[in-house]
Amino acid sequence: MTTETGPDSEVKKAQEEAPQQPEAAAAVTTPVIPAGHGHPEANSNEKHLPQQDTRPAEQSLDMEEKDYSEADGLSERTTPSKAQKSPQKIAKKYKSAICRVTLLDASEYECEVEKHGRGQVLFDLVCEHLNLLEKDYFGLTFCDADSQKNWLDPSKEIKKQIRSSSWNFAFTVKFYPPDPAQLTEDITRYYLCLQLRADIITGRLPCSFVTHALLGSYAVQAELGDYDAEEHVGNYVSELRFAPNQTRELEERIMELHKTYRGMTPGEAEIHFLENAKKLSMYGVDLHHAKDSEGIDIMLGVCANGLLIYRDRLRINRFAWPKILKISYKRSNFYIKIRPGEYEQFESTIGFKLPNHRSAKRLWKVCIEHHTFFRLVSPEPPPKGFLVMGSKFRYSGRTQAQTRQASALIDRPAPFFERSSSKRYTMSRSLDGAEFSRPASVSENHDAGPDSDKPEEDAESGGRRSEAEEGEVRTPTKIKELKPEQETTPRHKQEFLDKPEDVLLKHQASINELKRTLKEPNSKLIHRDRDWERDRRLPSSPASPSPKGTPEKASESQRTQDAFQQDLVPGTAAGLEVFTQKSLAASPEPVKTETMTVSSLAIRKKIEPEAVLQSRVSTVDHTQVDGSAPLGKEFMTTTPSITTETISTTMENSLKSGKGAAAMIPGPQTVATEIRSLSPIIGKDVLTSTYGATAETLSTSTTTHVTKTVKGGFSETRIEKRIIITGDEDVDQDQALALAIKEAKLQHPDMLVTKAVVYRETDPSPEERDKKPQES
Amino acid sequence: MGPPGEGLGRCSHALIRGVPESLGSGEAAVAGLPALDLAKAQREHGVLGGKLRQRLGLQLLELPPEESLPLGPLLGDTAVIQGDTALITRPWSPARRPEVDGVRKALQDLGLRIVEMGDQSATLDGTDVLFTGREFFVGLSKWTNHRGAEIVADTFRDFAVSTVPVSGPSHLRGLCGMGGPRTVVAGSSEAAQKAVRTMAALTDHPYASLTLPDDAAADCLFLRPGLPGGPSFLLHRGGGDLPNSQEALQKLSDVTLVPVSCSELEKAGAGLSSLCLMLSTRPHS
Repeated sequence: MTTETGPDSEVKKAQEEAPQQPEAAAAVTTPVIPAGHGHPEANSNEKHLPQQDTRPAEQSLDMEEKDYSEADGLSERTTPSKAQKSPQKIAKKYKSAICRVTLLDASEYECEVEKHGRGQVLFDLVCEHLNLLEKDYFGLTFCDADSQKNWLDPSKEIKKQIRSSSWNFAFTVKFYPPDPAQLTEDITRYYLCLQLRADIITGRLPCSFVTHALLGSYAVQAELGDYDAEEHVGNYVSELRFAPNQTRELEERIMELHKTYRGMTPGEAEIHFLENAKKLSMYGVDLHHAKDSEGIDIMLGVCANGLLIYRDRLRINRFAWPKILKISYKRSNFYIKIRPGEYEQFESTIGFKLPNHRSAKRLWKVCIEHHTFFRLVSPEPPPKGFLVMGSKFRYSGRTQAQTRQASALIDRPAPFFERSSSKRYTMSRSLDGAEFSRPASVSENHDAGPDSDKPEEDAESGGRRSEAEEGEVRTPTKIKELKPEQETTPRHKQEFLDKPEDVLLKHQASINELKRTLKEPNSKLIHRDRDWERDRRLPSSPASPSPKGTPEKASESQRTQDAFQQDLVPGTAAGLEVFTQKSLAASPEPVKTETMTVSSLAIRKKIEPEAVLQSRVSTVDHTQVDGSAPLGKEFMTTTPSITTETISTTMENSLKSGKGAAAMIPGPQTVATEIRSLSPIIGKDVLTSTYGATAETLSTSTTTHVTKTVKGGFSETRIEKRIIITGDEDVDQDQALALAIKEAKLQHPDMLVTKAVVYRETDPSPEERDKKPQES
Repeated sequence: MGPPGEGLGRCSHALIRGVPESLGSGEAAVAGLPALDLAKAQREHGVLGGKLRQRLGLQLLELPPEESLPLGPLLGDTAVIQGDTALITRPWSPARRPEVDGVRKALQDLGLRIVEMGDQSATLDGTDVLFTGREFFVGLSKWTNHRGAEIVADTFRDFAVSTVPVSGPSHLRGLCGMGGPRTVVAGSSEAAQKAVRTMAALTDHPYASLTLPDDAAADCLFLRPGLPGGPSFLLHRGGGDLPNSQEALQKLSDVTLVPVSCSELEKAGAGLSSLCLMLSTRPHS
């Protein structure tokens, strides 16, 4: 990006310059065309904008008045919000402002954004600079006048959010993916690692000595590469930061471990890093200071699965999203309405006292966003109509389910990027004191002072009070306000049947929708987690008197699981009670689904040692439609599973891949090859269906099958080719296959070979044939 | 670190402490304990040690009994061990606090990292702590207070540490235990069921739970003494002690049941979790 010379000139003064960022400007005037670049996700983001943005001003008026009656509002309303309004109308998109964005490696990125541009414009610029495609996990923050960290709302004007603050931002992880291995690109994982390293150093992510050492050693491997006795002398890791209180002992342990990682690529080291980091209990937990109803200091932690309540470092309560019916705030109070437990008749509402109104609102928004991102399939539209009281804020970005679908289609060679961060990181970090960058973190930690809260969002609370003082969101299911008296055992079942029909229907509808979208042959009934079944099948004790009973506190998912189990093992009696289940969206377990997949997995394995195959695992969310799905009650229940179908190779790679595949089948006479291409670009359905023999010793015939599917904005063309290569014994099948793949590649240069399945049809018995691809 | 729950039950050594005569004599009565048959208690203890060594193949370390410490055999209350770290507790009963010294020394000699509870306001009995392989639950009982639990959280930072109010005369481990990496076993008393419900609400992880007729039967130890991938054992109270719970225990799969008896020692408040401390000197293998 070009940077303007006079860094100070932009903010206050009206510059009449011609737009340097025509795209950005365009994005502001016509929100449907986001920041240029045509990212489909941007499109989907923006779709929600019109409703949200066309009328906030007038609709919020009565809310504003309400605000004024409250203490918090008073202090804030004097901000220039109103005054700004008129200039805005006349204001031209020709004015631009310089934004400074602190990146995860602590370097600073400067860019220019049209002065009335929305957050999305800046965010897209930053992501483009970072070469980041899986950007939905990330966000921008800024500090408000109280040096509280706020999330920059992509759908709102930057200027209105930051108000009088400077145009300084920080790029950070907003939603910590529960399973980082499911991220598509290494570069995304790299940024996540940087964030986690910062979280660790600042103490926001506490861990033991052993874990500090382990994570540190992977960080070293990723950053410095293999241990080299000549290059790595003395205490070569001492300049890097691994822990809040780094000791010599820790560094020694790290060096010891580092020596054992020879040959591990940086990408692999980062995967190991993340696999260990994700298990830490505070991974992805966003903490907010509060007091409970008795005035005791507690922390509220928002995470992928729900809301955690801590006192000191101890978890004292937990409310999984399914357990929460409603989230709301009023003044400085934050409320959650809880679904009644087994023996309770009524819903209960729990209130917490936040330091002030704005922190209550920040917490509320973070909850809404996390709930939507991790729990819903698609964002809810902002409320419409005259009955809407309260904030119209909704998360408008993509949900995790959506971002996974989209990133499965990412189609580019792994981008090159440099990993070397921590030194710079530490330096600037320790010098300028984290004030503004990243997590307002340290303070977020348990023992921090009570006044530092957390991610806040748009600061319109004062600037332009387009939102109400109170906000509330009901989780999508209506549940009856009063539960009928029921007795112990049949409860689960009944509860299921009690579900209002429309909810079930709605649920089914969304399942169908998702299925359609996915169009996956195997998206039907994949039971997410086999171990569960195993564990859960434990029969019950005959002697236990009140077996299922009770769970006052048992989470919704527990019931879900119970019922699920009933379906699986009819007649399972009491005694075995399922304990609780991690919210589905957050505990993805890879499930292999079909033999095809297995065999291509085998191929991939085979090939990886050659280090030429650029392989990719795509994530598909399979919908669960069996008994447990409707029980998921309020939300779509999806079961993420990994399919290995999208092993994409580049041209040269496919040659090698062919080799690898063929190598599994020693001495075949005939090789049948199936090539399936996957491309996010359409229009490739013109195909030749045969091609000539490529070598004298073989004859080749090709059958081609084209499927086109449209998935959320992407059109995908799959071409399956069945190539039969016939030849006599001394045919070099490796070569034949390689040629066949090459040929296919030449015919469809813009597509990727995602899978090559080799069948040998020769003398050996059919069992053997079936077995072979899998066992290697 | 391995897959979640992998860490549960890994052990190479077991630490026990002999039964002093003072446990059978009037001295124990001072602590409000009923009289017990000393010879029988010692026999039970001996059999327990034998099973640990021979059946499970563990290195057995036996601390000598000390007459001044009648409850010394209940050394499970004196330390919380996970991985390479041992938190030396501060038992609720002041009379029992000297018990930690011998245990500390032994654990130190085995190469564990020793963490002390400095805070004089904290109390913690080790048998109020349940480690599931993925997280800790600390029972807030009449022996363990919030501050004690907090120190557990400070010590084992990788893990979530949740508190579970425990009503009645039991430690948390007297009500529930682990029957496998993903299975919580619990007694059927009101207190046990309540504790399990609380734990179910607090956890992020999926566990199955198995209810046993006797609370004491839930005080069992899931152990994996060998190398990773080796067999798993469940050390539990046998049919002589708790006949009603045996059938239910059969339902645990993938685990070899090893019954032992400690009905006499139980009179002094002992359970399997208090009679032995398990640890691994190769915590990362």
